[in-house]
Amino acid sequence: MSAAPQVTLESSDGEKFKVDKEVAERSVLIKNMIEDVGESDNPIPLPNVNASVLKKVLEYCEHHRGDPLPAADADPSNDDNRKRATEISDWDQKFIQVDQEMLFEIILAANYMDIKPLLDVGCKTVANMIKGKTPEEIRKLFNIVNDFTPEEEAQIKKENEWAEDR
Amino acid sequence: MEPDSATQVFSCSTSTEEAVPEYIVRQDLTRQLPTEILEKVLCEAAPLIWYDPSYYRSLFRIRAVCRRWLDIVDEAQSLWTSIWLQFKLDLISMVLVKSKMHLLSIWYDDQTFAGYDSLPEDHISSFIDLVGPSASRWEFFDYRASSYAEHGRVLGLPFDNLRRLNILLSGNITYASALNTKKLTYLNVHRCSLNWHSISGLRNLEIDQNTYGPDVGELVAVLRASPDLERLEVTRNWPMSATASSDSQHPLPPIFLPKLREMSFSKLPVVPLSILLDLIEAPNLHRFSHSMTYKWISDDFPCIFGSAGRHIGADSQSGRGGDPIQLDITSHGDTFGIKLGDREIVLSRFGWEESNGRQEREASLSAALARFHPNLRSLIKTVSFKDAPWNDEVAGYLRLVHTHFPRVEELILMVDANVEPIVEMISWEQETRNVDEVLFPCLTTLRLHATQMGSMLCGSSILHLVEGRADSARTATLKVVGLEGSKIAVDTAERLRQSLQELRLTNTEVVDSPELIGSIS
Repeated sequence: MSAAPQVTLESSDGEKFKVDKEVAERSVLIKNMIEDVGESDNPIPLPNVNASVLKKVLEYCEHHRGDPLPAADADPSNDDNRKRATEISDWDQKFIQVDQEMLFEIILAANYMDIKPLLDVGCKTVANMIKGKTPEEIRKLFNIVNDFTPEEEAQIKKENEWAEDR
Repeated sequence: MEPDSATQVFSCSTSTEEAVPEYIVRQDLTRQLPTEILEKVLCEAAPLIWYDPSYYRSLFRIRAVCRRWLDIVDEAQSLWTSIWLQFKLDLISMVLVKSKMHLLSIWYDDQTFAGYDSLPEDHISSFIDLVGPSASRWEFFDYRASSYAEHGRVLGLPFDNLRRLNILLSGNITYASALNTKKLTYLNVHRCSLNWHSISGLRNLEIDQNTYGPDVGELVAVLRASPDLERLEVTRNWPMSATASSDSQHPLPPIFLPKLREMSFSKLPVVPLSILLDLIEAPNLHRFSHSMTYKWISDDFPCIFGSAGRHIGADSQSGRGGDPIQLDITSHGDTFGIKLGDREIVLSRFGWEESNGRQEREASLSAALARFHPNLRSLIKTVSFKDAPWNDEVAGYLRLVHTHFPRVEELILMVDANVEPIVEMISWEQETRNVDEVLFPCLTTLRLHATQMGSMLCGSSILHLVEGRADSARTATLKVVGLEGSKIAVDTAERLRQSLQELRLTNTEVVDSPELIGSIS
């Protein structure tokens, strides 16, 4: 039995990762590059992703290598699709338990490499951190500066009251 | 394989600020995210629960974090698409502005809150004034109104893009004007008769408790104008007078609904529904359900069973890859039902037992089976009879089923009656005078669930049945017999075990013969 075809990816800090083509092609960016350039022994450069993040991203791609690719035209108003969209699998939850810096790096890498399921997991994880918190708690969590003027803040406070129960 | 733990510093899945060591978070990392990604995060954080009016509270908390988040939220039209009647008017105005040209979901409910914190009439009026001009942007409209609401003012709006409309009223009314709903695909109407001839292109239609319409002619018109209909459910729609009747000289053309997957009727007048069912051609029907409850009306039940039988036993049932199909017949007290896979008809009729119920049930079964597609003749291999209180009635059903489905291989009898006469009826010995009439010659499995005392004697009659069929060249040999909730003599059980491949005894005591006879006497 012949070995699975492999490709080499090169991170922004020059580290090379040899992975199965099937795993690398979870990234639409890489898949398109391979299709455009054809089979080659040259490493595929990923100038926006450093080695530690790329290692993590490839771990995700390896685990999900056989998964069906997401349908581009999935209807979000469909109840099943919506349910799927709000769930994070146990493995993914454990995978994404990383520090904030790595979490945001993974989101950016997933966006750059066009790995939609990983981008979804990252965004949902940040969203889960936000849910149920007050604005002040959210600011504290992400170290966000409150840059509203007092007048703007007063207006926002007034608008918030509109959303309270009658 | 477990995820690599080398980079797992702390959990950030849900939780608390305590889990975030401050020495790690020194800068606002959300600034790194491009706007479209942060928008995606914020949309996830305040997921649009389109049926939950408290949704905006979480949205407003998010937009109060900083100016960038506020701008992103305010520019995301899709986050501003649901409006409820009980909203403060300022919020409604804000949603209308921020939704820009996005399609809207409108929730009008002047009843839910009536018992708690009544909505002032001027609020309702202002609400209609405010949202009415945007009616062409409404995609979904849930209208739950008391009978004194201004229906004309609301239902008369130009719903150019409305796809889903729920009308649920507290009292029956008729809204006679044509609905302006060119794109409507889903209609759910409760206690409101509409101008049915103005409705077309539906994929889903639910009608419940309508006193004034539609009658069957109007319903036929809607169905003819909705060739892509996928689901039809009509419940307690009393005015279904038979205005769409056809005669042999001028038969009505069939209503061809190739996408209809689910059809459900409940508590409808028999004759008009029979007409409707006879007209509908639904070759891809997956689920069919018809339940009726009649207390006083004397009606032509075989007629409706025949019409339903055409759909229950449609040819599409045979397209299951040749899998054997089970036919269930239930007759319990006031209830009589026929079920085949996901298709069934159930009739409940008060006082049936005292009147001519048995004749009507038998005639109804006969009418239904007669309309089953001939392709099912060889595919129905299992028949179950449940709950029949009289064995002579079950005997009648058995003859009928045998006539239509002679290839049945498995019989399941769950009856309160003494099953012995039933067993004797299908035994070879009982039919020796006319070999052509022997019931179910292909029978290989017999399962009896009996509870009455008489059932204890069934062991010997089963033995006769098994041995008689084994000796005959005209019948298949019984291979499996199951007994549940009974007693059987030990010597009879032993002989059955020798004659069968399997004797299944569930909650059945094997006792000595004298003990068995003693307990019966």
